[in-house]
Amino acid sequence: MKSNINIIIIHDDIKPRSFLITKLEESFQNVILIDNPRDGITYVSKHYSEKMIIVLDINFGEEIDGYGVLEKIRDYSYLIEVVILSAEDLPGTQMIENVNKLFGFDTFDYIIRKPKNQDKLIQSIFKAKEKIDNSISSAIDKWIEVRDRDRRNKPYMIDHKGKSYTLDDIKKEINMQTTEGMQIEKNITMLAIKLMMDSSQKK
Amino acid sequence: MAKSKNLKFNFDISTYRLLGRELITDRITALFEIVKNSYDANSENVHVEFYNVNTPSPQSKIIISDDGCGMSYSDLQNKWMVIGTMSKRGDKNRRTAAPYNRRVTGKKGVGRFAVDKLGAKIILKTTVEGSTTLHCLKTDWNTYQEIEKGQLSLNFDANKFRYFTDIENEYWEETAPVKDHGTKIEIYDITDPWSEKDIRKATTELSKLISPIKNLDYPFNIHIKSNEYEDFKNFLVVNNAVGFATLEVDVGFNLENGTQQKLEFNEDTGKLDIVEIPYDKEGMGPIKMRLFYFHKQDKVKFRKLYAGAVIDGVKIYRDGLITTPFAEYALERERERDILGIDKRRYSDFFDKVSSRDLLGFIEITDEHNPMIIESTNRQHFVDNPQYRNLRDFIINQIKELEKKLISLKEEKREKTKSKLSQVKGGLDETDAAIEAAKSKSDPETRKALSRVQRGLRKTKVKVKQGISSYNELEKEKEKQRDLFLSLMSLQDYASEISHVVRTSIDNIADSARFFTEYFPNPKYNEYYAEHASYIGEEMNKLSSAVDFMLSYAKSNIGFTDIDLRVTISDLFNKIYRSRLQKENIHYTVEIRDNFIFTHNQKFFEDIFENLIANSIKALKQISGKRFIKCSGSLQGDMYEILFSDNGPGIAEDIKAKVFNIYFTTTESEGGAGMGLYMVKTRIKAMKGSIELIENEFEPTGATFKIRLPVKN
Repeated sequence: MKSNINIIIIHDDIKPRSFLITKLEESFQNVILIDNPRDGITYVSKHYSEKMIIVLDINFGEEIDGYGVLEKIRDYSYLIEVVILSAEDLPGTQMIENVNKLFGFDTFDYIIRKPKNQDKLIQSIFKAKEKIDNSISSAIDKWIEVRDRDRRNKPYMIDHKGKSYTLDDIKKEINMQTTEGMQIEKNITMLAIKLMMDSSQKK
Repeated sequence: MAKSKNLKFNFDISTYRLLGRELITDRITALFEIVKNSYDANSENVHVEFYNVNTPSPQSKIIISDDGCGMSYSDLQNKWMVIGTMSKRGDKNRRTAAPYNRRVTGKKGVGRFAVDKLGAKIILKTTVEGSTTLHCLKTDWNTYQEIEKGQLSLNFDANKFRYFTDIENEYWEETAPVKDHGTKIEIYDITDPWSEKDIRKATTELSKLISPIKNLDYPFNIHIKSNEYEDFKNFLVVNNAVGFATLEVDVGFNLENGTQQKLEFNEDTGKLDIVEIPYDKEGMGPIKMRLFYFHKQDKVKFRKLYAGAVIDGVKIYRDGLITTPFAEYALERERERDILGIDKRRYSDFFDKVSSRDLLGFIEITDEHNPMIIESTNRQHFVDNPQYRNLRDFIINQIKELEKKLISLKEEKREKTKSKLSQVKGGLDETDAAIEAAKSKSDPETRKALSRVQRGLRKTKVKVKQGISSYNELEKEKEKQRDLFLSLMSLQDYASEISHVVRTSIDNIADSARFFTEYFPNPKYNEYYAEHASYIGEEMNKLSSAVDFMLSYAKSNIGFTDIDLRVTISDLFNKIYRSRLQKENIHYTVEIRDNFIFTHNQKFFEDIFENLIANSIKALKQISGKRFIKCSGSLQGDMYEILFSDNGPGIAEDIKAKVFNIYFTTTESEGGAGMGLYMVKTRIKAMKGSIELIENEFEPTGATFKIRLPVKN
């Protein structure tokens, strides 16, 4: 079965029928090629609650570069995995400067575009897939998604400050990795550990 | 030797590996850590002695001894033998015992594990004041290493094996005078040879230990002794690196007012002013900073007097001691890391930038006021947080202010030389006139003599005049070289861009090749194959045009000449393109108003207009009515502005932003490779000018480019 994680390639120099895309389509339902950064951001703004892996170029020859796109992506969600694919192989210090720009933006990998790195890129995308499939937040996400509409829009929990959250709110907080979102995620993990401990002690 | 109460280390293999091996990367750092321990122990003197270390033999040993507070048996048991316990490190404000009150510098408690970088066998002897017992402990790291090997091996038998904590370290007691205090570490089984160069390097590194900013109430002296090297028979390590600076600046802070001092170059007075700005308590915190700039001659002086010492940039000291990223030692200078990014800036603008080779700087921070400036655990950097970035930006900004001052000093010197030369010439003129006047009043004999003087004087005058003009020439020549260099720098830019596109093309070709390898033959992909073949063709074209572009540099003569803009552009239209334009039925107008003469490479400059003309010809082919090209130029303030227009179909709104990009083309079918406007843009950039698309001059359609070039005074 093909994975339902969307692969979004935001790159201005990859061909729609390239080997890369054809190969990925064998394992993923949706592989979408977007050839400019603006449409890329628009796509993310509409679909950020879906699971996705973004392959991102750095140099688009436009005002906004890959780092700018990354910043925008992170405005929407920290659960989107981003693999940078760039032909830039700069002298040491400039490279460090570039890596510094990535600081805090949590990218999955940085791959320099070379024929011998093609497999590395595909591997990296699969690793990102593993990460998404195995994450707690992804499990919570999945659990919320299979609830029906009504259930999702009703208040589900109230925090100690008295603010109430619907399931969709929770999903959003977790996607944004806000303090509340991370707290909820942590609590659920702790609960899971506790339940497992309890059951093993009963035995 | 009295009772035997052998001791065991209280930690496990992984901690040993982590702390000893990974944190202390080399032996000079190791030595550094041990000497730091002595500082923490309130020592006033540390002696580092090397015996027969040139070639390691059973006679080789290194002894490090101090007159610090020493350790009691319980210290030995509970502190020395236990790893990085919080007992010593927990309290941030912990200072060593009065009257020294030194802030404890050891952060990880790894100093003692550094010892094994120096040699395998250690005898530690220590005593505290008021006790006559000298505690002695022998450790053989070889035993530990064997265990480590065993634990890592596959057939490791947990039942039979001894752990680190099982090994007993031989302990005995000797007697010592009651007044004695301090610790002595004798190291045998020396691992690596120490050449004279190594010891010199070690002393240089050790001299950095203490910041010269801080006046220590109680001295901390490091003595080096060697029985092999003459220079180090009896050597006192001092940090007096700063006596020869060309320029020296000093800033501090005021806690009461909450202000930080900051350097600011004052354009009007030409001085570096010190201004007070409030500092952010949540930010990097207040700092003290001293910067010393050395120009060439002063560097030479400095090196002569302090053989082996180097001017090596800005370093950060915490509580008077150097921070670890700066303490790591690199054998070759080239491999030293530019932690603060001072030299990195030279990529962007080469001239008048101070490099870390001309600069010595001491930044003084404290645990108390700058708690967020944190050395990362791998000791190679600082933790990258807003406060550290803040600090780095502050330092770079201050160096920039210093640079402004240096530029103004250079300017001043030039002006002085010029005006002095003019003064001399003026003086000679006056003397000449005076002699002329005297001549008319003198007798013939005197007049003859005066004429002789006058002839000599006039010769000198000519020489001075020549001097002034050759000085001016020299200045111009320098300017030219600078221009040449700048365009070479942007050549570097092109090279990086070209390699970017070459790489992209090659990767696309490889991708297509891969497609064939994996998926051929497969009826499902039948229509893909032709497409991939044409991909390959396209990419090959791009590669070939990239090579042409590179060749345009190889062919062109890199020489610089004076270019008259009016003549050059008129010649292009009237001589080179005239017949071509007539054939295409294009009417052209060239209106270059103000004179503009500048120094540049003729071919590079012509390329700009050749490309624009060629583009316009292509565009105008698409319209059937009258065809126009217009090129006008005039001076606008300190920029020369050129407008280049045609009345072709114009450029669609959605691609305007992209037309200057490399490989962007709308005329692929006519062999356009997307290189033309890219070349135009890069060549104008090399002249420090700009080009943009503006609203079209011609109605209803057309394209107009605005080019701006800087006019130098």
